[in-house]
Amino acid sequence: MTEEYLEWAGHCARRRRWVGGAMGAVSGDRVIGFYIRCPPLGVALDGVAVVTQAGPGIAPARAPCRCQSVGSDRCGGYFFLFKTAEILVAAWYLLERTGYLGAIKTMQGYLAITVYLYVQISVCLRTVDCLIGKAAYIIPESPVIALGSQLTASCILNDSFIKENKVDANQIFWNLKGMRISEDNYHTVNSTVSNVTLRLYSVGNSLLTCNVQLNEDQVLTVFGIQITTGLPPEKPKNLSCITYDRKNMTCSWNPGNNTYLPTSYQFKVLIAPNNLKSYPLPEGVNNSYAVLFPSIHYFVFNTIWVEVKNDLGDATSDSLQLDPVDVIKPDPPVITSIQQIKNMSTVLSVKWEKPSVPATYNLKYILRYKIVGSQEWMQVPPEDTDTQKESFLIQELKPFTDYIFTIRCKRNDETGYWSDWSLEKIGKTPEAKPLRGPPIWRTVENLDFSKRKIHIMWKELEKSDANGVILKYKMTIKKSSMNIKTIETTKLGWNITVSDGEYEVTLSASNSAGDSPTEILILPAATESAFLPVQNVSAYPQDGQLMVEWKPSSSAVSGYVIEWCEESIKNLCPGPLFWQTAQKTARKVFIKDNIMPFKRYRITIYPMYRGRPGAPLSKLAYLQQDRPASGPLVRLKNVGKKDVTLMWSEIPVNEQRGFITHYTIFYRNCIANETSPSIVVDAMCREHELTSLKGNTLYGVRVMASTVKGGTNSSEVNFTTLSYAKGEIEAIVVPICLSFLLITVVTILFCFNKRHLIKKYIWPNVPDPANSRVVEWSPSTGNLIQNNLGPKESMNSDGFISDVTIVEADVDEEKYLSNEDEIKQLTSLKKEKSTSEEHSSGIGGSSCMSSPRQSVSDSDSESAQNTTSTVQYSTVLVSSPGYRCQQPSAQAFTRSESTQPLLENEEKADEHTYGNFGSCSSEVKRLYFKQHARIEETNLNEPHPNGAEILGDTNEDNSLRLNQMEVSDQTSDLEGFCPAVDSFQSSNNQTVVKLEFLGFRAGLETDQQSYMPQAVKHNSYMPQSK
Amino acid sequence: MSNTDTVRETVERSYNLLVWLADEASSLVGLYMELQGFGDGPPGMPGPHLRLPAPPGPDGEDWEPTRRLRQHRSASRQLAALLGRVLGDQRGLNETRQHLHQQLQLAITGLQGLDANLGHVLTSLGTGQGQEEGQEVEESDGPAQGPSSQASGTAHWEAKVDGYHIVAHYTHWLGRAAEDLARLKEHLKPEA
Repeated sequence: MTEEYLEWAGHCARRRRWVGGAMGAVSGDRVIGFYIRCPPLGVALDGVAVVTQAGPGIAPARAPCRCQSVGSDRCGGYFFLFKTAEILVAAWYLLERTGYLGAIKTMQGYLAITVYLYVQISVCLRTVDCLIGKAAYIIPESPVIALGSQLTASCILNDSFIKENKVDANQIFWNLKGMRISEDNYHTVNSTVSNVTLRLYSVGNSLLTCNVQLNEDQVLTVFGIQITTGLPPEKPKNLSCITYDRKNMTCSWNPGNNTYLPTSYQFKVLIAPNNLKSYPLPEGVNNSYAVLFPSIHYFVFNTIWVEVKNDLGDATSDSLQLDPVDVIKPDPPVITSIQQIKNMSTVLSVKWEKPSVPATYNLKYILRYKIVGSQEWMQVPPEDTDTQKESFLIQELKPFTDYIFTIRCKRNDETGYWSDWSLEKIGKTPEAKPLRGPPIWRTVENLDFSKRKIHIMWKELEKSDANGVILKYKMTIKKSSMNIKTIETTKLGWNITVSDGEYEVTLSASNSAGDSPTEILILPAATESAFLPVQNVSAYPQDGQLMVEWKPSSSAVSGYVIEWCEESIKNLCPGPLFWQTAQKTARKVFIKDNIMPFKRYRITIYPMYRGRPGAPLSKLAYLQQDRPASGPLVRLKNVGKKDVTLMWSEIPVNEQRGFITHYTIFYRNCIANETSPSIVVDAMCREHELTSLKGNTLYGVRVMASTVKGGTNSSEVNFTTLSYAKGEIEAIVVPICLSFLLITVVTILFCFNKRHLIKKYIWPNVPDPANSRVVEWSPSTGNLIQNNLGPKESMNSDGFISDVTIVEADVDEEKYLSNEDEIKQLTSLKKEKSTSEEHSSGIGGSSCMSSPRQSVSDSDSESAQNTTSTVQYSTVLVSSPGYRCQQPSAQAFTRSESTQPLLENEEKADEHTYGNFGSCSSEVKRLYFKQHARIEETNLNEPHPNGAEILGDTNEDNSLRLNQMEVSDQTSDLEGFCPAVDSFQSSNNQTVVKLEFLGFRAGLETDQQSYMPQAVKHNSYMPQSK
Repeated sequence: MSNTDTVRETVERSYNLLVWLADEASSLVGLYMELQGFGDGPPGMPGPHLRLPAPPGPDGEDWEPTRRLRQHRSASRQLAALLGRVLGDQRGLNETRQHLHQQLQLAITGLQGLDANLGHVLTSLGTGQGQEEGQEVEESDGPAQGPSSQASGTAHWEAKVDGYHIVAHYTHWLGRAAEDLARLKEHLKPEA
């Protein structure tokens, strides 16, 4: 079984008032009982019960409440009595109307019956508690207790309920706010009564119900009461009153803590023992009351207090005795007019009307005023206005200035309160002469050597200085105290071109009251040196403005001119020029206008010496700095293997947005993605060398320009370091070359020193056939030789020529060639030779004696060929014994080519020597060239039929090598003479070598003395040596 | 504060009160006549039933402060009652004339205050009448005074005429009373 308790609000139909204290209980879905407590003397016969607070699952609802239907005997009985009385009254009325009731038709009788019926009905209604299923009741029925106090309640069961349900008080248990009360707190008095003792510690209403345990499963709530817990009222404190004349007297006090109970307040005013007035406070108000005019007793001592009362007690404040007139707060006066006084620019007349106050009530005033827009009020002393006059002249005001006036009042005997300030009223003082001349300044533009264009400019006067509306400006330009120009204008500037001299400009401003004092500006001569400048100029932002500070350099300064312009280009102000003046005592000044953040300004200060500008001193400044708008433009100046030099340009001034404090260089290895530590460099630097880089590596670099507000990066510049450092290759190649050159030189020197040996092996002495003993030894042969070669040619001792060496002296080939065909053949051969020389590098590289110049160019070659000292050698290689003009069965020619110059004496000797050899030699030569030409034409580069290789130009050196090898083989003392000699690979080399060197060896084997037929002594004839 | 000072201060306040009432009442007669339609001049004599307090007698050698204070106090009470009746009449006759009602109420309240002040003075001087036990009145914003007679045409006229004479007498009496209080004030002024 579930049991829920509800709180109800009853509505008594006739009184139209809601009453509390209704309650009931439900069991499951069934309402098992509720009742409504009707008000005393109320008629709650018909009502509506409204569920205002329901338990879980029970929605607020309405239910009819009809007392007539209650099955209570007592209620029903009273209802019956009520109805009976109603019938009696009706019967009485009928009797009276019909006149049958004469005996009782008296006033007393009528009254007695009426009183009787009223009492009966009242008794009935007082006890009518509409109870549905009433089985018990609780005493007290509607207790109000103080917070924390103890309450004892009794639940009395109805006899009929006891009999009907066969229960007694022992089965009673109590619930408070739905919670079962501990059995320790209640006890059974007798079979019908159970008492509970409670102590409540929370304010507000609490539902206490009496419940009966009918059986194990069934519980019935038989009655409930609502306990109200609150606090007794506190004594009102701090009672005070204020009288608003002709409105009310308002008294207020501190009511103290909330009582949580219905509490009534009475405001009491006593002016005489027989004249006490009590004012109940409206519901919801507990801290003030206003007695309305005209019920306020002026000029009478009023005794005032407050009484407060609720169900738990009452309290009375301390009484306050006062005359309402003494606590008047008057209405503020009304300023009626503010008037100017003629010819007095510093005086205004203020008039006002005093507020309505009781007669005999004198007021005093406080009049205050201020300039419109300012915050500081000036006040006329109250004693100056402590009269009954209602006007005042205010002096020492500023001319042509708007003033705000306001006034308040108070009773002049110090009682009461100050009124509020009156509504403000504005008055304006008349104009006066301007206090000073306008600030004046100039710009100078030198047109040529003797002309200057001067722009004279001035500023409007401050309002406080203008003292009115400036109507015009008067300017006079003097030179040497002579007026040269006088101007009246309303403009704020004037252009004039003057010569190179000193000028004086005076300027004054005029308004309706007169002219201002003049302001003087000296335009010094162009050649005149300026006076001292100021010192230590600094400029810095302060309070959103730019403060400029300096130190004076001279006490003779009469003022300062501060000039500034936006420097959007370095050291250049293309924009307008702004300026302002400062007093001579000033050491710092705010630049007021035309200053924007993030812009660079050039601020220049001119000290003024009685109108004469001193030397300027400038300073750059920002009102507010920011990070640069763009980064610097970075370029690579030099890229090396491990270092790189960066260059960057200065950010344009209009993009710097602040002073560049430093640059920060960030670079990273793009390949390894390694970021190196940043490098900070001074703001003055424009380039920096990065070192310790890796060679042949891609790097990315940025340069960040920073101001005090942060930095901005440049775009990234990428570069790849070099594989070799600059000069590294040279450092390798040059030593090698030098070494090679050194070796070459040493070799040449060595060769030079050993030239005899070299000559001996490379250019062996050619036997002179003319002196050959063969001729002598074989007469037939000698004849033959003499016939063919001449008589002076000698023969080998063995009787045959095994080797013929034709020495081709390139003296004049045509001398030796008999016909044109031979000349052509020779020319062709030369060209071929020359061509082969071009492709030959072996001569110079492998031949110790060859010159590298031979293979440089055709011209060189030709020039070499054309030189008279050039000698070509050809060696006739004979495969079978034979000599001279004899035709060998098979013969081959090889040519020894050398540029080895012939010694002059040798040439001469040859000429002489070979002069006799000419016919044979010419024959041989012709034969040689014919054969050689033929072979070259047909068997060039082909092996010789006899196995001897025809050595072309490219193999000429090989032939030399061959010779050298033979020399090496035959002569041990020549070993090691030419380094880097290659072995000659040929199947027939042995034959060739033998053929070639037979004669030579023969020569060697023969007496060398006999080999020198030219009677040149040993070692004095060196035909191949240089 | 000594008793004499209290008396002197109370007399001073009473004098100021009378001056204030006289100032406030200066326009009362004109306002009343205007609202009653007495544009052609004051109406005739009051009805015989109207008993106005006698004005203070002429100043003479027999001028005695206490007696004069008692007379003024009695007159103030009487006038307050009469003005209350006028106010009641006017609330019926000129229901919307709040300014007149306020002026009449101010006069009544002032006279009640004067009664209280004079009672204080007389008590302080030791010649006060027996203290009347005050009846506490629960004040409300509703009418405090009822009409003097049944509403009829004749009664209305008589009420208006009586009201005029009461108001006129009141203003006149204020002046005379103020003079007496001024004289009393001088009388009570401490000798230098």
